[in-house]
Amino acid sequence: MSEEIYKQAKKNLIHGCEWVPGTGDFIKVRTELCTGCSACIRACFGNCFQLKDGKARIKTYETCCECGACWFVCPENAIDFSWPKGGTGIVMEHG
Amino acid sequence: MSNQTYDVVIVGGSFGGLAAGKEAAEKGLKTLILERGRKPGDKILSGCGVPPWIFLEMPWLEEAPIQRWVNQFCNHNIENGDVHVSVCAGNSPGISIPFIYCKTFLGWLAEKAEGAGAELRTSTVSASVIKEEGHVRGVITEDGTEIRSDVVIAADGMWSMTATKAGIRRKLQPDNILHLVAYDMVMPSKEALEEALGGSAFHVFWDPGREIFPEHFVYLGIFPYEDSFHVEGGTSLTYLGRAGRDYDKLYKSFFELPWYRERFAKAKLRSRMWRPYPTFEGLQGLLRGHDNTYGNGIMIVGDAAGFMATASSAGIPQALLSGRMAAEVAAEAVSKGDASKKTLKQYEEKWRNSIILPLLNNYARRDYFRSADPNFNKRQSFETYFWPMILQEPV
Repeated sequence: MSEEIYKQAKKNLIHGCEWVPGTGDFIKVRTELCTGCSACIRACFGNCFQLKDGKARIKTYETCCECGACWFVCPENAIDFSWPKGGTGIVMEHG
Repeated sequence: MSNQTYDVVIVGGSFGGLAAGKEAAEKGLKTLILERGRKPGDKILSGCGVPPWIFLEMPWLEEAPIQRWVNQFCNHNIENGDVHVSVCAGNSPGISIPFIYCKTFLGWLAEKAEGAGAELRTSTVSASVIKEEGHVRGVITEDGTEIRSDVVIAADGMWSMTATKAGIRRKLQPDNILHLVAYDMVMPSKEALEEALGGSAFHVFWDPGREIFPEHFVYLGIFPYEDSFHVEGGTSLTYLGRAGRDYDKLYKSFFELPWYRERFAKAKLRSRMWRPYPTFEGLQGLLRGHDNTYGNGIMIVGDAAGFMATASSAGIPQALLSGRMAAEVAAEAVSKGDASKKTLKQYEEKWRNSIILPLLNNYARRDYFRSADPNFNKRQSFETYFWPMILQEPV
């Protein structure tokens, strides 16, 4: 039971939530400020970031819960965080 | 496009924004509420017990859709791989707490606001404010549309984007933020859930010996709805940024406790969501006057203002109440033709003279969130944390 739930959670990181496309690039990393510390990678429960050539970058918006943890946690203020285009992005029915 | 001038524009269609909109419209103000989701509640997550004092302040809330009235409160300590110490209290109808799903509740609240005459514009992002000589005069939506108003009410959650762009707020620090993951779980029926819960009960789990909870993880709660529940817990965002944590592994360990397995084997995962919440330190700037809740032409309500009472992890009643207060002051400003700080400072006076200030001042349990000291947790968490929270008493 717990194993099954764990696999579901890991397979689809915003399990059970609709994601409406057309968000635009609403979170951006300013590479000139990024030091590659990976705080954003560790803080993101959607697994939206990856490290590439020593800098953080967004790999997908599709599992973003729009929580802003990346924006809050970056020690260099290297993350530009804004909202996805109105009506797009995550939809929480059971929040 | 229709006339883009209003008496008041409210950014955010959640608890604070919709309550402000209803009140403003009832007072005859031409009111616009901007919500970035397709519907109110699309972007909202909460573990959702609502301290019932707000029902005394706003009796009309009694018609709201409530998932469950909880009248039992159980604290458990995890020890030696299972739940071994439990303290349950309640079973008294006098202190029932309503538990809600935000989406359902906010849908109802939106109908109330629109029924009062407020215009609700969804799928619309307010990208920035119109500011002229230090005075907020409206907002600009993401497609560049200017919407002018005498007053802007910023009700856009803890990110407080509108107030930050207006220059009267700064971003919260990660030390001031608790980051929670919520699993929404469904049982086969309402009866099956009540049997598993042992009644209409809210369960909180502590792990003083850190057997399954990682460092800085404070408590896990089972928040019950009609036939479903949230499993929710959190850690400081600073800690998460530094060390990271696999919450899914933690929740798996929790589900493997015999106590949980015996009761909730039939529960299925429906949604997995997460959200940050401000904690005590985030409120210190507010209480010491470093952060403002109003400026020329603008007032901030709810989580955007930092009105989370971390002692009870509750923000909804404060959002509803401060929304109403801001609308009252907006009406005053519009009738006087003066929405400068001189008039709007009445808003600060209102919330400081209300229950909101003692809730903000309640620092007694902040150590739970700051240090997660296992020795501190070993003390009678029920008496020092939980019971006063329910009765809304300062400790």
